[in-house]
This record gives sequence, structure tokens and C-alpha cells, in this order.
Amino acid sequence: MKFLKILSSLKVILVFVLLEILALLMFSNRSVFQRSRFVRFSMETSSFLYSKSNEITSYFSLKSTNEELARHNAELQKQIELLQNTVQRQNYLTSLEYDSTIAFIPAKIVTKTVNNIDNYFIVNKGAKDGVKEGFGVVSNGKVVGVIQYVSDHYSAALLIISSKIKLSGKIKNDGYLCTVVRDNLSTSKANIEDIPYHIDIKIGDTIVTSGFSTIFPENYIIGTIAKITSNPSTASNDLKIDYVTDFIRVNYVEIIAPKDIEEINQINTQIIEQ
Amino acid sequence: MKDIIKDFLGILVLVLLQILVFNQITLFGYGCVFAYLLFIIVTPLNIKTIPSMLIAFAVGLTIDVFSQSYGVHTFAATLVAAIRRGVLNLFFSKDELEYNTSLFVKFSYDYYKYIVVIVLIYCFTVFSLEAFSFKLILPILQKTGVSTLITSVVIFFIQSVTLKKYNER
Repeated sequence: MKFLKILSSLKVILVFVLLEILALLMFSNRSVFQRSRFVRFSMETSSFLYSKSNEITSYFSLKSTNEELARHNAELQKQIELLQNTVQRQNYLTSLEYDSTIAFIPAKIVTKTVNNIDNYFIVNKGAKDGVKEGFGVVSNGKVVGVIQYVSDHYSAALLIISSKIKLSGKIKNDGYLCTVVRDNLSTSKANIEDIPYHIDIKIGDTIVTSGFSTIFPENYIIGTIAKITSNPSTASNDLKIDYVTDFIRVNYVEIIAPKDIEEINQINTQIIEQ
Repeated sequence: MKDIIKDFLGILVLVLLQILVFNQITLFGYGCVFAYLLFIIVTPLNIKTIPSMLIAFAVGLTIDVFSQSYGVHTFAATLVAAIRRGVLNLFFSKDELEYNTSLFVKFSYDYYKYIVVIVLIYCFTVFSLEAFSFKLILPILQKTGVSTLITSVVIFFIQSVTLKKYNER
């Protein structure tokens, strides 16, 4: 009798260990998983489910979305005015050439997570709309994320509040280059280290993208400086910044599709080879 | 047979709630709500550990697929299902466990403690597996604390609503 009892508890332990090993295998192979057909399939189905539920819930946020669009509209109007002035003043051709290096693909977020260490969101544009892995995602001139996986009609992107992402940024007033890394604790804060004392910074200064990566063009807003701590051991300041993007509210985004990305990469590899 | 269908539907509703509602919510920047844990908490006592682990594995996997968190919830849900019996033994006497198939007809102080311990173990497992580094122990503990609090409150709330119905019958 006692023997049977031990046997049955052994069985429980065996099944337990087996299931946990399965789960851990899945966890440790997640990078392989993310590229597998199974995940593409699950992404398509879950996206479908989310977009259906989104059709209903989006009515609740209509008001704030409207306000956001109106604000965006006003900003665009201002920019149009500014641009018209510039066009008049400057050489018409050069300004056209500059703009034509980037195309924007408008998209809607179907689902997102904001509270994990690495946060994903899925948008309703995929390979058939010209989205590729590594494209940047912005919203109203603010950085949102980077595309990671693409299926036919949807693509998944990492939000910039992910431990995996380090943004190449610069201090807007000064032009000093820095690396923006998300804060471990809070999903609305990020850290910048080693800003030399001679760089003139104050709380409220804007951090923008540097434009030195092919993912984001120059001058997209990342955040504003919230706290400056002096670090005597490295003779520099460490900064804490607030992201300006409201990751929970953002619904409509633009995917940045650099047109000449292959050409740029080709030149890059040539430089490295030399 | 009727009960099985009913339980299955209950789990389905919880999973859908988790995916469509609670997964989209973050409180105070780092609090998550894992309301679907309720299904492990109220698993009838006459169901053995192995079947309940298998169910937990399947449900955890479903949650993982929909939140792009490979294996994290599967691992934690299976773990919680496995140690549930032990946690129950901590708070309830053998007689109580023997004669009730369902403990949950009325609330007791012990029952609250049981829920909080289950949720605490679950949250800690999820966050430490997700972070997978000892350097992040402080954020892990903070997230665990806040999430345990919120999740427990939500589970109490759902339970009190459904139990009221149960008692009226």
C-alpha cells in the first residue's frame, strides 16, 4: 500500500518536471520560436481576435482619439506654413530630394503590452504593405518602436520601452550624442549616462533621435530630462528622462520606410570591408 | 458531463477576460492583473494534481501565445497548480479538505490567505523568469508586490460576485 502511494507521488513529480521542462524549453528557445511558422500563425489569429475586439473598444476612445487627431492636425498646419516659407526661401529641388528619401506607412495598433521587460505591439500593416524588419515606428513626431517580425498582413514591433532597445539620441539644444536605455523599474522613464560636466543641460530639455541609425530619421522626440544626478567617479552627469510618448494611449502610428535602405547598407558594408 | 462543460466555459471566459481586458491594463506603471489565476484557485478538490497541472499547462500556454511571452505563464501556472495542494494543507485542516469538494461556499480569513499566497508565488515566478537576472531583484520584488495586491483584490471581487449567486441558489 505504502509502495503504491510513493509510486503515485513519483508519477506526479515526473509529470511536473516534464511539463516545466517543456515550458523552460519554450522560454529558452523564444528567439527561434518568434521566427517559426507556429508563431506567425498565432500572431495572425491573435491579431484577428484583437482587431475584432478593437472594433468595439475603439468607440470608447473616440473622443480622445479625435482630440489627438485635431492636435496633430494643428501641428501639421503649422508645419505646412513653415515649410511653405522654407520652400520659398530655399532651393525647391533640394528640399524635394531630402523628403523623398523617406516614406510613411500609416498603421493602427491592434494590441500591445506595456508592463513587461520587453514590450511588443502589433500593427495592422505587414509585408504586403511594404513593411520590413528593422523599420522604425513613430507617432506625431515621437518615437514609438522598431518592427521585429513581419507576417503578411500584420507586423510585431518592440516598443522603445524594452530592455533590448538602445536608442541613439542627442540633446536637442546642444547636439551632444548619447545613448538612451529604458529604466529597469518604471515603464515611463529612461536613463542616459556619462554626459560630461561641460555640456549645458537643464531639467526639461528635449532629447531627440540623432539620425545616425537608419531606423529613425533625425529630430524625432524621445523624451525630456526629468532628473540630473552628478556622478563624481566618472566626472559626468547621469540623466533620467521621461518618455514623451504616451505608450498606453497611442493608437495610430506611422511606420518609417527608408527608400534607399539597401543602398545605405551597401555603402556601410563597403566601408567596413576597406 | 454538464459540470465539465460548465467548467470549460468558465475557464474560457476567464482566459478571454485576461487576454482582452486585463492584459491591456497596467496600474502605477508596473502592476499587472492575472485574474485568470482564479481557475487554479477554485479547481474542485476532488480533481487530482496531474490533471490540474495539465489543465494549467494548457491555459498558461494559451495566455503565453496571446501575450508573446514564450513559456513564462505556462511555467508559472503549472508550478502553482502543482503546489496548490501543499498550500491548502497549510491553511485548512484535513477534515475540511476531506469533506468539502468545494471550500469556497463561504469566505474565511484562511481562504484570503490561501489566495494571496498562490498569487504571490505566481507573480514572483512570472517576473523573475521574465527578467532572468539577479541584478533586477529589486524591480522584480516591487512588481511582485504591487501585482499581487491588485490581482488578489480583483480575484476577491470576482469571487464575491459569483459566490453571491452561488449562495442564492
